[in-house]
Amino acid sequence: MKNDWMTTSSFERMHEVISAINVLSIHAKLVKAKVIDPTDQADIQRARDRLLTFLGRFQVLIQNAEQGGATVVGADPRLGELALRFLSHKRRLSHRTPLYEMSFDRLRELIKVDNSESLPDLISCLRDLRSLVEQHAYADVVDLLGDV
Amino acid sequence: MQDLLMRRNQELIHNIEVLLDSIDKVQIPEELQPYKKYVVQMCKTLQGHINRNIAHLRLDQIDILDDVLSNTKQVTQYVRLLSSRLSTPLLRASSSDRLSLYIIGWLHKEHPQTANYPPAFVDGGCSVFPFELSPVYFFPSAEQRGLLYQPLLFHEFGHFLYVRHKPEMDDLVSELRQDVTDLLVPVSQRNDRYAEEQAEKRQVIADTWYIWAQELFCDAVGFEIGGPSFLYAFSSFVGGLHQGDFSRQPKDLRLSDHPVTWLRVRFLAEWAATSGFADLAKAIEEEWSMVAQIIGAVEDYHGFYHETLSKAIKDTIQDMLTEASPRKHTDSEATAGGWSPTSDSPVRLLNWAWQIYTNDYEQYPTWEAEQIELLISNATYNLQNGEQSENDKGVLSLKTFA
Repeated sequence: MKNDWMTTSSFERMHEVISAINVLSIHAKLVKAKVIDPTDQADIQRARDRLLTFLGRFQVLIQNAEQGGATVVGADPRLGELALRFLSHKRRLSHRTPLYEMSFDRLRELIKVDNSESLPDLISCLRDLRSLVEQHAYADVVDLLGDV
Repeated sequence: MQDLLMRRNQELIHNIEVLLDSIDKVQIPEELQPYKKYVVQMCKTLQGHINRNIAHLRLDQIDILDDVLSNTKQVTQYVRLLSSRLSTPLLRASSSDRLSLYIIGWLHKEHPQTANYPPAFVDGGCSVFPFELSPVYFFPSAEQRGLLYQPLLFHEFGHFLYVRHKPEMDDLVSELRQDVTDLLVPVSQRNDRYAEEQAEKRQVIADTWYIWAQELFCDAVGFEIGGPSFLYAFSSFVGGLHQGDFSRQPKDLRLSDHPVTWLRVRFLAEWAATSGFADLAKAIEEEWSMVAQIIGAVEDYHGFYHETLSKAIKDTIQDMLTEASPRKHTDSEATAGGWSPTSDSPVRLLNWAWQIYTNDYEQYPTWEAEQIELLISNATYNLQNGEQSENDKGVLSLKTFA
């Protein structure tokens, strides 16, 4: 779906989500390796807040879409496409990766709490979520910046 | 991988230095100074992110390389965005930009939600990149040098207003999308291939109406701000006298950027009529009907619109206007008949321009040149006498980069 104003909006939103994932993923991995993270604590908290806000809205969208093939109308179409992509991955990968196996509430809990036991699951979920979002965001990048 | 990422990040630092150097050397109109400050700040914020990538690489932790790779991609995209889009209003600036910069700057200042955003635009078809970072408008070269089509910027501004109220606007539009799909494509009670096709059709119509609702909202914003000047500019600019302005094939309607133009004109005309401009609305509708008759256009929306939706659409647009609260033109701005650069808004001038243009086409170019000169002189005087705009008081917070 190509549309200048929708592309810019989606580009900014996905960038915000990916940046937040990266901050949290690096932090989790460095904590696990017992290495000091040079990132400010305030930046880490901001990334946590942003990702939780996004997941809150995304969760509602997914739940609505899961209700008997309902039409996705609760967000802009680009975010709706991401929700449908998530559900498609979930159908195929639900028993292979924690992201598609666990509930959104559990994922949000992992992000909120610094718990060393749950770091491997958190790192795995963030990696898969980033992969999903980056694949989706690629179309916006090409629309906005062009291709060579 | 570590070496590659280090090299990529060093290249990004170099690219930003090149951009900063170019921006520093370029001569720009005074109205662009706030935008220049904003772009320079954005460059510095990106430099901070690159330095953070380098600091992470120096930790020698193999496990985080995929994260640093992703961060490097993100910064690369933003440096390219700066280079290809956001720096262009500065690097291709011209003194003739001042009129449209003045109009955009005025628009932004008149609305609390946009008052901190500096004006910026480049040549192009009427459009906008409504970045929350800072919007960039596109406006055609000839039209940006005259008064008549400046009201079209009010429509583009509507897209930015939408972004500034996005969660609430999306909620309002989602209710409309539900109404539209329920009416146009009822949910199938079957459980077969037909049901799947119906579900897909519902989604396409729902997504198309996300786009169309925003465009109709922006048309309404244009009219709210510009009054008759917007209706004249819109009808004249979009009326290409082409069959496609009246009806399109289903494949062209599917997820199309804009609703059929005739439908937009009809909604706008109704909007104008209920706002006290019945004669103007009637004249414009009659003009379009006459062209439709001559070229044999038949109204057919191929299942994407039905007259019974009209009320739901108008109610939604009204709710969106209430939420976004665009500045409504005043009676004296719409009546026009004169204009003072020191005490009147540009809206009065734009309405007066259409009055002069429709009454005396031959005298119009001389009159227009004089008015633009007056407007720019007054803007220069205000800038030289320390009128500090809201968007010059401080650089925007770069939310997505914080």
